[in-house]
Amino acid sequence: MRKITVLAAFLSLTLALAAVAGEKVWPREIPTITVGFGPGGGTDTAVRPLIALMQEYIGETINVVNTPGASSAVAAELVMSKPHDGYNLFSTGTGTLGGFLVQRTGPNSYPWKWTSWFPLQGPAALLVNPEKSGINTVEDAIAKLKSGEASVGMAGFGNGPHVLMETFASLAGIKEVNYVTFDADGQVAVGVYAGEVELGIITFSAGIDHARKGNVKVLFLNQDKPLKLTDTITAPPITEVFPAGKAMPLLSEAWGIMIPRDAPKATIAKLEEAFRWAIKQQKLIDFANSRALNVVGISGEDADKMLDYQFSAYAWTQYQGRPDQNDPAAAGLVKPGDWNWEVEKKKYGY
Amino acid sequence: MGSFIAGTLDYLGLIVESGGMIMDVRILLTIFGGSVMGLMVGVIPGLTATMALALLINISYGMEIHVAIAFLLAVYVGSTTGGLGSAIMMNIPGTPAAAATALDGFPLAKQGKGGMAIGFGYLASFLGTILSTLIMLFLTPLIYLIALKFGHWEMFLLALFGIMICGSLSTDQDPLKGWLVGFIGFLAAMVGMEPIYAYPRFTFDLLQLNGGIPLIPALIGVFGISEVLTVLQESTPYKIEGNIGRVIPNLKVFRPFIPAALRSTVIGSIVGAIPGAGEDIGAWMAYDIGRRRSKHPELFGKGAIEGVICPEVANNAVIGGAMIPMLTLAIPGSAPNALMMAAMQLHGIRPGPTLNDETPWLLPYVGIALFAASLAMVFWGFTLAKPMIAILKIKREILLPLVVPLTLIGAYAAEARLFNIYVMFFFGVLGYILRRMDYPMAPLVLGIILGPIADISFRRALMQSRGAILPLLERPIGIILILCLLLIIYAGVKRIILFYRPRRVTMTSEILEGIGGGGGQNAEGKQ
Repeated sequence: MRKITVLAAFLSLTLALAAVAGEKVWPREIPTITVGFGPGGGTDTAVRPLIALMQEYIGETINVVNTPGASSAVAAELVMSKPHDGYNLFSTGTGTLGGFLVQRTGPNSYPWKWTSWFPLQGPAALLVNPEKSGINTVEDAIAKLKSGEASVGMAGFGNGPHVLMETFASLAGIKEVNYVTFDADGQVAVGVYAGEVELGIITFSAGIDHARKGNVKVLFLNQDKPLKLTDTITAPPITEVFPAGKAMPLLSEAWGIMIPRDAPKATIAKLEEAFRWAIKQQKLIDFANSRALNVVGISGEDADKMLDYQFSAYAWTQYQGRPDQNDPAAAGLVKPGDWNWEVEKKKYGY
Repeated sequence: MGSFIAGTLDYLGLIVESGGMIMDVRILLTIFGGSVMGLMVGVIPGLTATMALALLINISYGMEIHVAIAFLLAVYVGSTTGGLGSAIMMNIPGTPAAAATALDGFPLAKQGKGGMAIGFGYLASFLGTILSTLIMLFLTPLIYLIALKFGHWEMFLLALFGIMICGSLSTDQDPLKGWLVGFIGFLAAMVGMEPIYAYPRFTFDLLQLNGGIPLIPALIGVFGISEVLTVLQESTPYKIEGNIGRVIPNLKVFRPFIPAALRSTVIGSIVGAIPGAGEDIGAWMAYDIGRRRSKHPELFGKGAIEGVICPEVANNAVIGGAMIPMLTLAIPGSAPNALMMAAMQLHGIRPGPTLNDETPWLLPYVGIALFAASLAMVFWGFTLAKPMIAILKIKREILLPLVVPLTLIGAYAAEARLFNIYVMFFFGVLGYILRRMDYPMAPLVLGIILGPIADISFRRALMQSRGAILPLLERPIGIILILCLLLIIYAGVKRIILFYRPRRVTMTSEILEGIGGGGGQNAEGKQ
């Protein structure tokens, strides 16, 4: 009799545990986020604190893997090729997706294929090491770029900073820029400091400490206000040091996490919940302040809208710089001036 | 001068203060706990230091910053060291970094000296961590300057050097086989979307191949599955002979190897400070230089204790070295370092150039925590060595099939992808065929690891020089690396000629015999 009681109790406990386990919708296993740039880069540094807070909220480890390559197209295509079961996520900046189309690098990874969350936003910057390069001003930089004596480091063709550099070059009358790629923006900053490249165009948050320390100088920030870094160092806005820069699109990139749009709804809801909680945490706010980033907390339709607009803007900006690439018009992409969210929403089925 | 002395005294004061903080019972317990967790993960093939940290990092978010750093460092040191046990006892390195250890560790185990090999392995790992930590604490500005000199061109040469050196060392006589296998690995690494313009290479329109060949499943296949297949087809599988023997190393036996340990520490620390180079290059480089400088190079590959000490010192010395670019430049030297950096950032610490101004206590504290983590690692290593060896000594025909499910977990765990299991079996069969043909395994894996680094670094170096090779040849560190490469090629070609000469004589005699109508003697003197 006692044996039967023990057995019954054991079975009930097992069933109860199974029921509890069954109720746990997501995550049942460890999700993986594939970051499209190397460790220490703008995207990597911006999303890791968010991911850490989100995993604290969901109570499960989130595995982060860095897969740099082709401005994160390699990572995007990799995630798209995996099961859309809610366990494979992607991370990049909003400026990169335009390059997927223009550079023909990510045909399966356009904005309407993703649901996204963007916690932080920030400007790009052009860096220089005056001692090693002999460049002190924007005029010096333009002269050296025109004469072919300077190379520009960046984290990948088609990413946000690259597109801005192409626009700057076009406005400054520079025919061709010699680029050297690195795995991440942080490494570009170190490359400029070490004299490996004369200039570097990066997401500023990844190089801000080098600028504060005086290892590199900020020639301009792609925003309309100066940014005080220390008592003696201020990063100037592009409009101040390069008058033609008024025509530059002030497209601040945002970095975030994305999941294939057809992932389970319950997963998307849980991620939204975790995201909303994470962006309110003081740790993330402090981190953003220390890196000259803004906590924007964009998700849902707002995120779709921003991503779609930046997709169009970056693709067209990039194409106008070098028309030998994939024509956005041929792919049905409207120009930023003609962009209308309601039309886009229907067209791509957001 | 006065300010230099004052600064030095302040710094020493911070080190002493950090020593006091580590003595907190809470922190000590966390270190011992993290260390044993790391060791246990590291011993399973395919579960690496990165995986250990990824699994355990969220435990650290709720901890106070000092506790969290100590915990993560203990996991890092433990998991980096853990790989040596399976490399020595099963010839299945837990990580690529332990592959060089298997070259002499496994022959030692077969000779019944597995306990001794593991004991010396732990001692070497302990010394590697401690000495590289000292380098980190006191020579950071110097190492930092060397690391800054490594651009794309130097990274390309270093990666090529790693493949060549491994190919040359992992065969007894014929480096040609090692090089061939190394470049097969290099070719495998070219599969997937190339990382500059994202053109698919060798993907045959298979989306799964766009991301390339995943390393961990390939590693597990090459070392684990091929070993299992090899043993299963033997009618009498080999046994690990004799008693476990003494695990705690005899320091008198160790004394002659102190110069080798010091040399390997310097190699590991410098390699660690170069972002992207990693433990594997450090271990192979130390093994190569160790063999060249040894009084008994002929014993290497046959069970030389020095052949275990050199790579084990170096792969742990990489830990201290890799902390330098992470703490001073905010460039993580490796994947585990990226996780460490994220944890620090979340606790409000910003590694990077402003570290000394904002968080001056961090560098000394990391140093002292690494000391404590090494002590915990060596304590657990020696304590758990005997039971671990007893498990790993089980008959091969029973143990190795039990290893298969573990390898499946290892291959699947990193990305939760079924495709990775297919990759593991493909490389397992490839490894088995190559083993049967007497080709070494380690260069294949190193080719897969270093191939992408060599590829992208070479192309980026050419972007830097606008397509010209000559400007690249003027770079001083590049010149040193090219000379080292030429030396390896020269020594390798000499060995290849020696290896094939007798056979050529035989063939020549056979041809002459044919011309003369037969009846002569061949080179071995047999009719």
